[in-house]
Amino acid sequence: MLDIFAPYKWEALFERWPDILAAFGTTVGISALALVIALALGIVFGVLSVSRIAPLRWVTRVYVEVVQNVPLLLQVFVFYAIFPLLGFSLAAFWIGVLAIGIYHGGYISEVVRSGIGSIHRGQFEAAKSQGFSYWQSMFVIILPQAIRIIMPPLAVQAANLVKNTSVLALIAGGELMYFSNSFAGATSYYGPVYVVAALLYFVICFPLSRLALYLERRTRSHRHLATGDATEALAEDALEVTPGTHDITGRAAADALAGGVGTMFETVDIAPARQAPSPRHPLHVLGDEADGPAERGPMEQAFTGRVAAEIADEIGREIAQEIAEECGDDEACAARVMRTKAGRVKAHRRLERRAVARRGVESTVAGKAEAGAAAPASPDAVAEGVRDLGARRSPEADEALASRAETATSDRITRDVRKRVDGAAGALEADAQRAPAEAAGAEDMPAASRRRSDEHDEAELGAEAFLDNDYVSGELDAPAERAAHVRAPHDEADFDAESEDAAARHDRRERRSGDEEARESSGPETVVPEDVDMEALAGMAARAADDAAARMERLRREGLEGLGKDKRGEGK
Amino acid sequence: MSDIAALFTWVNIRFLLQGLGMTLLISALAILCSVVLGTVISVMRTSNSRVLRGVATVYVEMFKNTPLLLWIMFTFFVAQLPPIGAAVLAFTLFTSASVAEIVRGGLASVPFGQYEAAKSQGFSTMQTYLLIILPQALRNMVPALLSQFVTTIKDTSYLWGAMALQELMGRGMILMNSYNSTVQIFAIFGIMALIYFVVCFTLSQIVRAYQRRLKEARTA
Repeated sequence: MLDIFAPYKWEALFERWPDILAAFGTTVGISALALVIALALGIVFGVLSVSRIAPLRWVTRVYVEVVQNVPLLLQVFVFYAIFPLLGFSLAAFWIGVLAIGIYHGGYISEVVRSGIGSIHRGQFEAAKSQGFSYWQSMFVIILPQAIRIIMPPLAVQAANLVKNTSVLALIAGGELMYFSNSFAGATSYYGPVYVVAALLYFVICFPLSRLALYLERRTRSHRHLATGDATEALAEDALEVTPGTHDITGRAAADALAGGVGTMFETVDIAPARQAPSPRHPLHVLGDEADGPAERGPMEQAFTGRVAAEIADEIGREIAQEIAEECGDDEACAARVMRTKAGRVKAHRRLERRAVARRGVESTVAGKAEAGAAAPASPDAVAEGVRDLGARRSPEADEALASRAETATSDRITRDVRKRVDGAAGALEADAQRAPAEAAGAEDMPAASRRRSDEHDEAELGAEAFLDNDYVSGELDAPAERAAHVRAPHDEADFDAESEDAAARHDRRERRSGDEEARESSGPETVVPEDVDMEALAGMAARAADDAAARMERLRREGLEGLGKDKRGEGK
Repeated sequence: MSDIAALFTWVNIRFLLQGLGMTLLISALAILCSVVLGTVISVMRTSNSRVLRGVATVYVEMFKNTPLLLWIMFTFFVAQLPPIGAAVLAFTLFTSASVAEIVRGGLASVPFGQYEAAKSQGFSTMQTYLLIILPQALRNMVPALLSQFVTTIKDTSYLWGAMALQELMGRGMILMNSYNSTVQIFAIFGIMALIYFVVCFTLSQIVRAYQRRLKEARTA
């Protein structure tokens, strides 16, 4: 084994070093030129593969499938053996450039296609709403964004391309592999030359695959851009700002409108504090472990799509105003100024300034949002929310605000219900106080009960007023129950304790058990004198709890919508 | 036209199909060996030992960043193995580097709780991998492995040029030498390309269908 690598064999090899270098140079040259062709073909066919014109898509499909499912060597042989028969011959170098370029063009086209596919369709719509043509939006808006996603697999393709140039050795391509073979064949010193060739290939390919890895990691920190469902969800979330409604201009539109995903995560990334992600947030599905620790995960962003778009809007107005000031009605001037002012970098700079300024007014926004979200929330809760969340604005902050509003609302409703139950208890109490006197004349119960029921209803009305709800009277219209109230003499203190108990109980009660009790209390067999007041109370409490829950849900919904509306309203 | 008809004799067809058989045999052997070797390497890459990790990383980087043809030449000329052995070895070495990455992805797709659960049930590391993790990982790896199979089938076409092994490409070339009209050479070439295409395209369609099913299963 060792004599394969005997020193004299190395010597013989290194005597040929100019040839090694020349062959290496040929490999590099073929690779570079083939890469240019592959990129050109890949971009053209990649763009065509998402074309709206079906025949164009078919053409790219056929190209990609043929190129990917037939061995490269066979394709090289088409140029090497078949074309000369048609009177069309090329030097091995150019065969390499063309064949390998076309081969990898097919692969790159697929890469480009999936890159374009990963940009949300909303971007197209946004571009269209801003008056971009299909090709303008493709080359000015979509492709520049897709490039970041395309880059990692592209670097892998480049490395593969370099490796695949070795196939030319089989057609006397004059590149590194061919030199190795011919040297090995001529001298039968196989060992050293293959080691050197391996090293030289490694020198080109290793940096490329490292680059791919690096780019991939970087992209992964913006990984939502590249991954299916989560991307979809995020884009949808961001798209709550409908593209057509924004008066922003040019590239700023591309960068920030309709999700502004790129802007969001590249420019407006402010607060790096990684809070517990809200489970409501669509990106929550990604989780932390999805890819190991990302350098900057999507959850760390302070601005949601909506806010990003809002900022973009402001910038749009700003630009529009500046244009108006500078040019007045001069259309040509406006177009020129717009081009200079709406560049990507400039838009980003504006966004950044805005983002910084934004932090200053954060608390105001939060306060407004809170007010819009939860009208019933107490000022304390708002103040607290603002204090706590003033410094940040993020999905988590939104969530926290919403839940704060919710808590405040639920507290209020709890108080409400308590009052209502107290009121009802008071009414029953009044009945109960009169009851002993009436108890003797049980035979004229109907009259007595009618009288009492009038009074009772009055008392009930008091309770009802809290609730603008009519079930209480409905509940107590049942004659048996009315009678029961009359017939149930209760110790006052006892009653108080019980009603308080009920009021406290309804707070704790779960909806289901509340329903159960409500069902129980409405059944006729429950008209047992000693228990009936309790039952009625329990039923009321249960209903009150149900009602409160429903109301809370409604308020919560309204509150959340209010939050959204408020922000949207500001955006316009 | 009669030139072309003259090609389609049973002898010629069988000759080519035997070549296809050789292509598939070598590819299948190479993939099977690669899965075993690739699994070992990817498990080494997740190992706690720095040495094992280092060895595995160097292995993967070495084979990922050098051309396959070089390893074919190397195994054939330097290791002086018989053609089929050299071919399978070269493909195994080269492909196992890619398969190691695929296996790594597959292993990563199995939730960590599965390891913990296995451990809590008293499985040894070996048992955990063989009985719990790999069967689950394999399901997610199938599409990528099939794609790798397609790549390997295409790459076996180097073997004729490198070591005169009579796989499909080689058989086609031999056939081409025994006919001399341009049309016949075109036809033979076309048939060769068609066979490769049909085999590889079918496999890639299977990959796609399988991926769709996996995706549906995941969303359902």
